[in-house]
Amino acid sequence: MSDPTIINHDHTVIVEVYRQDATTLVGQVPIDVDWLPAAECARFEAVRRSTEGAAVLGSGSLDAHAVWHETLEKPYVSGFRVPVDGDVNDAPLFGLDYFKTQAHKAGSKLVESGDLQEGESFSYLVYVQARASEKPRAGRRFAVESDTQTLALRGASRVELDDGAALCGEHAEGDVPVYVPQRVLDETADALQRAGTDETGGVLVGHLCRDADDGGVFGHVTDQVPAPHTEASTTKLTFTPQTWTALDGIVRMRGEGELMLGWWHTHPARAWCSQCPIESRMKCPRSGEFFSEDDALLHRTVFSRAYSLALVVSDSYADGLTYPMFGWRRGRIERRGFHVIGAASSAERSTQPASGVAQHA
Amino acid sequence: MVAMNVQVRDVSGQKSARVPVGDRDLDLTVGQMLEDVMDDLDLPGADSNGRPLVWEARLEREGRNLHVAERVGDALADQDQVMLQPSIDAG
Repeated sequence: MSDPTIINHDHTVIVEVYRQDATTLVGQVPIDVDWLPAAECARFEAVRRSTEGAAVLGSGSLDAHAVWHETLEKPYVSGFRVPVDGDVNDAPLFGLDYFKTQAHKAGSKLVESGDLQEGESFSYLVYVQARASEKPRAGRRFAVESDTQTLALRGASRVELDDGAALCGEHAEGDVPVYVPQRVLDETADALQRAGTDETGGVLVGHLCRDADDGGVFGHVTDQVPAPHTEASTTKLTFTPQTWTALDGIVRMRGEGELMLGWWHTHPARAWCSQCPIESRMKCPRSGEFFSEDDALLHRTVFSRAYSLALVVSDSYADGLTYPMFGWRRGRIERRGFHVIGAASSAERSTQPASGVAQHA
Repeated sequence: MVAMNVQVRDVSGQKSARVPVGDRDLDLTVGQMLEDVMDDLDLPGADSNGRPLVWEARLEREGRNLHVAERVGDALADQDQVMLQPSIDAG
């Protein structure tokens, strides 16, 4: 269970790496944990539990309360809870998965030091160690006051949106349902074609809604806005400061009160394989259905709110045109499903409709 | 005493902060102010491998980018809005 030990301010978090047998200790590596996604997840969970028509999201860090490992006990943790308000034991729980990315980096360090073999599987535990004093931070000169973000949750009906909608990908329990018009997917596919061998992208705008029937929160993407002033190549797309200025202006001028719910970009994977023999193209593991480290950094930097989405439009020899969607799940970026509105009406287009579309249950 | 209030926000409109600028802060630099704001809003200054991220700060009143070395008292006015914009790659 969790106790009052708060581990994200004055504790060092250490990953303990074991060989696959889970008994041979390879090494212990202190890690820098990014606690913000957990705080964002906890805040948004509170919004989802509420029944209000408007929601207020704060900023900054929240306390992470240790959940001690059941058998190994303190100082080993099996996760942590982040209360926004109320009882800690009712707060969202984050398991050891939360440290997975940093654990992988710890594994890489142990490979570099020769303690672990390249490609060797390992397991890990996590423990915390109190620091003598809180990690020193640069002295603040300004009394910065974080503002809250007020989300106007539109009243809407999922039943109406579900009519004729199809699920693309898998909907995991706990994910906020998301609806995207087929037209938006078609526009991104057209953009991919027009960009040729370069990547292209933009932002997804829309609304967060509260379902009139069950009160649940869902996202409704209403449109995509292509990103101007980007710098593009076959494997990279830079969103420049000029890009953001222009996008900000465009979204404001639309006057629809839309949020930037997320962003999209293309993976022109066919171009990546254009020099390869045809037989190897079909087996190429470089399908475009991935979210790179750069993609994750962009998502974390610009779209850190827990409702934020990232759509990848991929075109590869192996998989054709596909639309993997990524989003926050328990503070981690994971592939997720979404509902395509009007999917059936677009099925006859020359560009394929969303891959994996199955009739919505 | 507060000489002015400045609003700083991110590009997605998801995060913003108010900065009350006191008389004694007017001689500090825009860069020092933005450093504190970025820390408060938990905006990363570098990627996970330590490579620095490039940020620009757009002063909406003048439609220009602020320079980090500018004096706060010279560059900013009460109720100014500043947008923090990263130059950032998708891969």
